[in-house]
This record gives sequence, structure tokens and C-alpha cells, in this order.
Amino acid sequence: MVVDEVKVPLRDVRRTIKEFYNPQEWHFITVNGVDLGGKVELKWFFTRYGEEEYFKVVTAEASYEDEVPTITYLIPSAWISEWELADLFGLNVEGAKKGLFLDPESPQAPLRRG
Amino acid sequence: MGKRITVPFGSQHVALPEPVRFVFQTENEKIVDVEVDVGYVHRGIEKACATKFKYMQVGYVVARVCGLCAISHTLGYVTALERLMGVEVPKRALYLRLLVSELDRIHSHLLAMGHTAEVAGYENLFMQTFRHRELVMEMLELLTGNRVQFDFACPGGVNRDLTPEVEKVLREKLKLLEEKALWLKDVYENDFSLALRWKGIGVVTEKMAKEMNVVGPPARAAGLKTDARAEFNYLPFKEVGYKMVVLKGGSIYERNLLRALEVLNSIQMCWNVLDGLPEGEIKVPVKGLPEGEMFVRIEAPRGELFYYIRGSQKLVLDRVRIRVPTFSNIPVMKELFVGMDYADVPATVISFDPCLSCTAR
Amino acid sequence: MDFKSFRKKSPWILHYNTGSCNGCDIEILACLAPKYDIERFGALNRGNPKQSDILIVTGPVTKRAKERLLRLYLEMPEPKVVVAVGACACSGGVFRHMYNVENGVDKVIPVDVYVPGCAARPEAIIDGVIKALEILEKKGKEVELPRWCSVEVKPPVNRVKLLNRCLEELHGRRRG
Repeated sequence: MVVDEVKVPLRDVRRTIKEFYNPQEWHFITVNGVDLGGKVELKWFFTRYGEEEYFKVVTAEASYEDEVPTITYLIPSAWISEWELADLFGLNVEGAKKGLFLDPESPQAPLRRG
Repeated sequence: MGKRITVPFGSQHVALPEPVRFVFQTENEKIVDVEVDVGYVHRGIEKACATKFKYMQVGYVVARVCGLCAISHTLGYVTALERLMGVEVPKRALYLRLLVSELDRIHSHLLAMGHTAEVAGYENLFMQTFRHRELVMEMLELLTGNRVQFDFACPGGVNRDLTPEVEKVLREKLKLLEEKALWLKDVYENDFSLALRWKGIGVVTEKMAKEMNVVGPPARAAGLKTDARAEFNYLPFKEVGYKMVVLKGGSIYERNLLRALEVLNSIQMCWNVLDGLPEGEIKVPVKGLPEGEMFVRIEAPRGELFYYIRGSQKLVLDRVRIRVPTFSNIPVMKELFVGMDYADVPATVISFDPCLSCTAR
Repeated sequence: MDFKSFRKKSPWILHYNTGSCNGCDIEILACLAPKYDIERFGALNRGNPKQSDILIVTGPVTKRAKERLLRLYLEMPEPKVVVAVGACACSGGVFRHMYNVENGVDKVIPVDVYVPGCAARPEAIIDGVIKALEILEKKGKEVELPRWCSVEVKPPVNRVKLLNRCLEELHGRRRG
């Protein structure tokens, strides 16, 4: 398995993805968050069509208050992953609505630790 | 234009087997706007996997994410765990996993095809498809011990071996199933009124599929060559005669035809597995504690399934992330509905074979 | 005229998924298909609550599905029976105590028949529906309300008002 991982500051995420992303060639898988206590590690996963066992990962770290940049300008289908991130981690993602999964009475930001 | 009318579709609806809610804004028959709500079945499995269950138990919990593709979820998790811990799985176990995963794909595809036929008003064809689907269910029950939630794969191998008696019955049933599947493919391909109802409806073009990151049968029916079975080496698919089926067109008709063709390919793979099943162990013990992160892609019946796990030398994992195929097909569905006739909506939704209990988890 | 014996001959089924894994739902579909064929008891699957006699519920009842389940239940005419299918509908099953579930259908609406199994086998589901028919025959026209609900019902019943008052109480419990 080949993993091509790039670590960037949060504000550079959109520029980094814009540099290489091309819908004819790249397949966007998802954006994933892992809580590290006080901050969340975000990973954007990509793969290339027709290539075996290849991943490109863009990694960034965000604190709970940071505004996470949206990539829906580049990849229109990314909104659903971003809304999920906003919902389950309670992050402030640009342009995301709360309430994709959670109800007002369910616990807020359940995937945070503690 | 006339005034807008709001038409809710779901969460409980005759055509829908599961709760999803679309709210359509229509002008006469045309849809001008759509909102989607997928959160009706959110249970919180990801959180429970990372707090309540030990890493050896998580495989059985994630199987309950979805009953239709139960083996795919377990397979995704155990593949990730085995790669993370460096476990060498015996060859026989891999072949048995492949057999169950392909049988599971056949039953899921037949279900989707039958359901689309029912929504198009073809109750008879729905009944016929389901009748032949029961053959697969019987085979799965013989092989694994349960009809739906079989918990077949486990970390390090599989839970149950294939005995010679079962193999004999499987061969008989597989032969019967092949006949029926050929007949079904013929009906779905050549029936005049089905083609009239489905051709050119709900078209996903190849460009759209690439831009919206469509996965699974809808993408392959649009001509996009993507299949995790070919792109990720998690089971020995190439040794048993896997062929990627790609069609041009991308309407409901092609999506169903593609499913019928994939069923035939899966039956062929099952034959090859039964013929060339290697001897040996079916399970190796898994020792130690998981550390680090791992991600895998699996081809579930509905498309690419993505698993991310991370552990830190503890019995309970830090994070289990499940990205299911329907989750990435929802945006294209939303895009597709704008400009469509309301009457075509149920058939289009069902032809994507949405699995909401996967999506919301 | 006594309708009781006729009612038993053609029970219509309403099926609602409140967060199950689809395993029980496809087994219910398999019941309707030729091999198991629940239609020989006159049962048809119809999506309309106002025409149905049996409510089949699967899943552990998520927070968002709760209100819809109550609505469906109160929209069905009396007499009606509720069948909870699957381990998670009976008690929460593997999903018990996860943050977004209510641990079983009987926390929200009264349940008459419990069908165990993960996933429940079609034979068991048919058995449950037959048991439900026996209960349906004995039931009268009185309105049955959930255990947590303190709304008083006096005939003649105004269904719209009843539904609104029950929903108000549900939302009040949520806030309070």
C-alpha cells in the first residue's frame, strides 16, 4: 500500500488540494477527524482511478474553535462529509449546517473525548 | 410559471424500505428544489466502537451497521485490523470470505433489482426475483448458519469451515441459480415495457460521476471504471476470474442491467472458488494490541466502503471511521432530482439502492 | 354487525424502520415474497397508517424517529396491534445505551408481540403476526396510549386533538 501523506497548516488545506485535484483523475474519498483532546486531526483522503492501493492524504490539525475551510468549490460532493464533521465533532466548518444526524436532545459533539 | 408545491417523500413511504426524507419543491410536474434528511437512523455506532467494545468485538458490532452488506462491514474492519497487526490470514479463509462476500453481493443485487421492478409497477417481476433470491439465502444459511447477520469473518480468519456435504448442496443450488440468473438478466435486458420505463431516466453522465465522486454500480453504469475489487488487493479476486463490468448510458436501465451482469460474474467466481478451494487452516490466533492507523477500501454491493481505524496499545480502539457507499452517492442524487419529473423519483431513488442505516450509522 | 371475525381475515401491515440495520426489514420483505408468503393469511403490506391494523416496527428507536413512530401509531385506527421485530426492537440489542437510541420500541408506544432474533427469521415473523391476529380479535375500540402519556381520553375522540396533545407532552418531556 502506497500512502502519500502531506502535512499542512489548516489555512493551506484548500490551496494544497487545489494544486493537485483534478476530477478526471482523482477520487475524493472522505474527510475524517480524530479527536486528540483539545484539537482534532483532520485527514482528507484521495485516491487515483485505476491505480492499485494508492492513497493521497492531506493532514491538518484544528482546535475546537478554528474555522475549517470548505472544499465544496473544488469538490461539490464534499458537503456531506463536512456537515458530518460539523455535527459529530462540533467543529466550525465553513458553510455547514448542524443537524445532519443529531437532534436537539441528543448529546452535542459526541465524538469528542472526555 | 405556476406556484410552488411542496411534496414530502418519506420518512415513511410505500416505495421506501427505509427512512430517508426528501422534500421536493415542484412547479407543476417538474422538481425545482430538493432537500434531503438522512439522519433518521443515526445510532452512534462509531462512538460505541471507540468506547464500549474491545477491538476483537468491534467486528460483530460493525456488522450491525447494515444487514444487507453485513459481510462487507466485517471484512472492512478485519482487513484493516489484520493489516495493522501484521496477521497473515490462511489462504482457505480468504477464499471462504470471498465466497460469502460474492454470495452476499448476489442477494443484495437481486434485492435491488426486484425492488426497482416493484416501484416501476412490475409486482410480478419483483416476486420472481425474490423467489430466486431465496436460493442465495438458503446457500448463505447452509454456509454460515444464519440468513442475514452471519458474522462469518473474524480477526484472523473465518468462524466456520465448509464441509464436503455442504459443498455438494451448494453446487446443486448454484447451478439452479445460474439458470435463473440468466433468465432474469434476459428479462431485465430485453423486456419492452421495462426499457420504455427506464431508458434515459435519471441519467448520470460520466462527467457528472467523476465530479460528484459517485461509487459502485451507479458509477460503473455511467462508464466510470472504478471498483475497489480491482483497485485494492484485499481478497484474491484476480485468481478467481473477476471481470469489471462497465456500461455506457447511466440511466436506471443500465444500473439494473449492470447489476444483472455482476450477478453472473459473481456466480462464475463462486464456481471457481468451489473448484479451487485450498486446504488448510481457517483461522489463526490474533495476539497483541493494535497500534497505529490503517485505512482500507472494500467493494460492498453498493460501492466503495472505506474504513479507518486507529489504536494506541489499548484494548479499545481510539477511532473507527466508516464511510459507506450511499453516503457518497447522496450528493449526486440530490443534484439529479432538480429538473426531473416527480413521477420518476421513486424508481430513481431505488435504482441507486440507497442504504440509509449504513449512511447514518 | 360484528366485524371482529372479518378483521382477522384481512389484516393490513404497516412497516416502519426506526433505526434497525435493515436485516429485519429484508426478512419482512422475504415474508411477502413467494417462499414464505404472508399473503396467505390475508396480510398485505400497505404504506398507509389509516388503513392498517398491524404495525411492524424494527430497530431500537432513534431520537429522530421517535416522534414519527408516535405519529404513525396514533394515526392508525383502533383496534390495532404492534409487533416489535428483532432483538433491537425488543430491548435495544447491540445498540442498547448508545447515545442516540431509546432502548426498545416499548419505551415509546405499547407493544403487544415481541419477536426475538438477530435478524429475526421469516418463520418467527410470521408466527408473531399470527399471535398478533389473536390479540387483534380480542381488542376493542378503546384508545390505548403509551405508558408515559398522561392524556385522558373520553369518547367521542377527536384524533387530531389527541395527536397534538400527545406530541406536546413528548416535546415537553424533551425540554423538561
